Amino acid sequence: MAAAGSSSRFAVTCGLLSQYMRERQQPQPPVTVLEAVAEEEEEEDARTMQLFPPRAAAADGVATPSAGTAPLTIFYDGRMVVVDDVPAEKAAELMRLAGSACSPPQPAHAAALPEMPIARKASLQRFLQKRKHRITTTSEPYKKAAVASPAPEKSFAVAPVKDEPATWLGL
Amino acid sequence: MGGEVPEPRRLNRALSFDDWVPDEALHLVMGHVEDPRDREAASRVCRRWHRIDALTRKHVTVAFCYAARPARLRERFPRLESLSLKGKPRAAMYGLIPDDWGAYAAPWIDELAAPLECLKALHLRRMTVTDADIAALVRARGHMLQELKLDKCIGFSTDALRLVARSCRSLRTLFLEECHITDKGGEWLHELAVNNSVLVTLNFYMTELKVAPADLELLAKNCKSLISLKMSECDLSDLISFFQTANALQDFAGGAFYEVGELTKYEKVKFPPRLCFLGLTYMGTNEMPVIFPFSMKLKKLDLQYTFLTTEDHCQIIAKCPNLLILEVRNVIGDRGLEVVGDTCKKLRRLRIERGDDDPGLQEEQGGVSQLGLTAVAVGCRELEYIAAYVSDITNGALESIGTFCKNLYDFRLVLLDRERQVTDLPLDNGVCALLRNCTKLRRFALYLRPGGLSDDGLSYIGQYSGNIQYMLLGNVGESDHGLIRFAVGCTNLQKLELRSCCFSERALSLAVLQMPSLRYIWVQGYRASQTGLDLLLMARPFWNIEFTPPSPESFNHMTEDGEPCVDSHAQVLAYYSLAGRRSDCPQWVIPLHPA
Repeated sequence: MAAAGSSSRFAVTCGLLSQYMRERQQPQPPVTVLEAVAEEEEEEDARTMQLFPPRAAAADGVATPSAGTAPLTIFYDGRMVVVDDVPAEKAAELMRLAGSACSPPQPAHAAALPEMPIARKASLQRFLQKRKHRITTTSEPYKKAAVASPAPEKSFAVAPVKDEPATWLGL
Repeated sequence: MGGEVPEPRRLNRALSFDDWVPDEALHLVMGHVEDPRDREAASRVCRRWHRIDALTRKHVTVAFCYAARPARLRERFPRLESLSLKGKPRAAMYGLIPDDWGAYAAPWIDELAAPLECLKALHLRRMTVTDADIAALVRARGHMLQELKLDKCIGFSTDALRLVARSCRSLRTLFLEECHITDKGGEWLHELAVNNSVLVTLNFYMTELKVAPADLELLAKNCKSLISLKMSECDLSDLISFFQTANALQDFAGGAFYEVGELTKYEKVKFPPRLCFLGLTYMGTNEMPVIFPFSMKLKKLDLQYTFLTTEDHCQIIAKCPNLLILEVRNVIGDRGLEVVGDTCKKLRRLRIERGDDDPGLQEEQGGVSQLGLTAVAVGCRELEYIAAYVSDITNGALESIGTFCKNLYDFRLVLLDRERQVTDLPLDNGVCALLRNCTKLRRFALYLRPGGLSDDGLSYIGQYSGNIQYMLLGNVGESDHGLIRFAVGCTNLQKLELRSCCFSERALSLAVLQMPSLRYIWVQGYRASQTGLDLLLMARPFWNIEFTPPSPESFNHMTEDGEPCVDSHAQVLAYYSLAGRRSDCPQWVIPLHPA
């Protein structure tokens, strides 16, 4: 199984390269996935290599994109939550959100969740139905075998029953 | 591609390379970059790399078919050779999504089949595919189609399969597992056997298709490289000649033991010499010995659809020391799992499905608890995947998994609701320990019961799941605060499914906005407001929100089997999309955003 998730060295390097390119071409807007294709044609600019780029360590800022992190205390619905290490921008976003939506909190009694049964995989559901059918129509081979005797007895098989119509077998 | 990231000042050198290396060379180099995440990163370096990546990309997976437009895919990747598309939410596999929900293959096939001249592999999962779609695909690409995978799809018939069999002579893989296919006769298999000589994989496992054993034998005769056959039910005694012919076969699943307790009838079944992946439908205690002669060689054993008892599981698994993959129902019991721990030292994947709950049909001694899971964790150190439905669980067992299963990549646990008493709830500390120690974990599912995981536990999941990309949580947490604390930690989570949790719409919205990588969320069972308006708090550009109210209409919807969709609770699906609002919503789905 391929290692997913955490970026590979290659991907991280590409990220840095991309950052670097953008900084080298300040006037141009960054390439986004959305617009990149539309603008493909104009890509052939004669890019000269800068021996002394204005900011050699352009990617320095990558690791610390935000100004810093701090504990965030949220008062919400009459309770308090403290979250450690929240980046400033995230906190700002949360506050903006909280401000933008001041509808009163739902009364608790509306919360009563209806009971939801754990769902079963469809293929297994079908199998269990067939199994049930088989157990009830045959001489219950499964339960008998389960009783204890590991040594199967032929007598169990007196009345073999096909639980599927066998018409197609003759094809 | 592990290792250290180069220092930023070395980028200069890397880019000077980019400046003078001709396109042709970059094409060649890019051809060796296969990992889709690497490709994605490379495509963002600059326009030149983006263009060359687009021209050299051979495979694309569209994780949700409404996330992008087919035309856009065609424009960007004109030389695509292989395409995977996923449709309905996973809940469809559990009968929770009515069949007319959408995820139609038609727009994709119409747009792509003809223009994508290099396309030779198509994989559709949980989509609606019609005969006309398949006919269009065959018309445009049939001559070079090598792989057609229709995985849990609905909407087509054996007529389309006949066409595929007649026209696609280069087909190596035909995969139809768990599809609902209208059966108009077994001729499609006959056509396949007559027309194809290169088939490697044929899968119509868990379908209701009826085929003639003689056609399978013919197929084996003509396709010398047939390595994998997974099929619908068919009495094993009728497959004796097939097995004699299929010399290359390594993987077989399906068949059936129709005659109960008749080992003599099945004794003549001789499996091909290289067979090492096996699953036999309806195998019971008496028939089990057919496996014994080659059980040492088995690498995969699927016992999910058998009639074996706990004792049978113990016997059979003790004879399979080389298993890499084991799939069972919980009838295996803790005793069976102890045998697994003692025997299967190479085991990578373990799936323990849920058996019958009907008290009258209850499986003797079945049920898996902390005892069984601990035995497996201690014994099978190579495990990468564990999915288990358990009757009881403790923090200690989860800690053991964290301690011993360092390679775990995917962990899924469902606590069944049948047993009243659970030994050790909440599972906060156990979950925390597991997540902290299993650093390779990328997928995680936890379905408990009220009280099973506190808000603290939920916040641990957020805090220690930095690499996890997919999560399913059911019946966890105590309040909205837990969800928010969870969400703040989930930096890499891309896909989240929540079911039967006490969170309000408002908290769901706030949580969604906290997860920077989240591109898909499906929720069923939450504290719904009268209006659903709070869901709009998560609205933003390119973020689609679809709401399915619990209307009586959805009560009347049937799945393909004619089973009613029992579940009528409201659902919310929200996802990033470059395609805008979808136009094929059934009436009972309300697109909330974009309006």
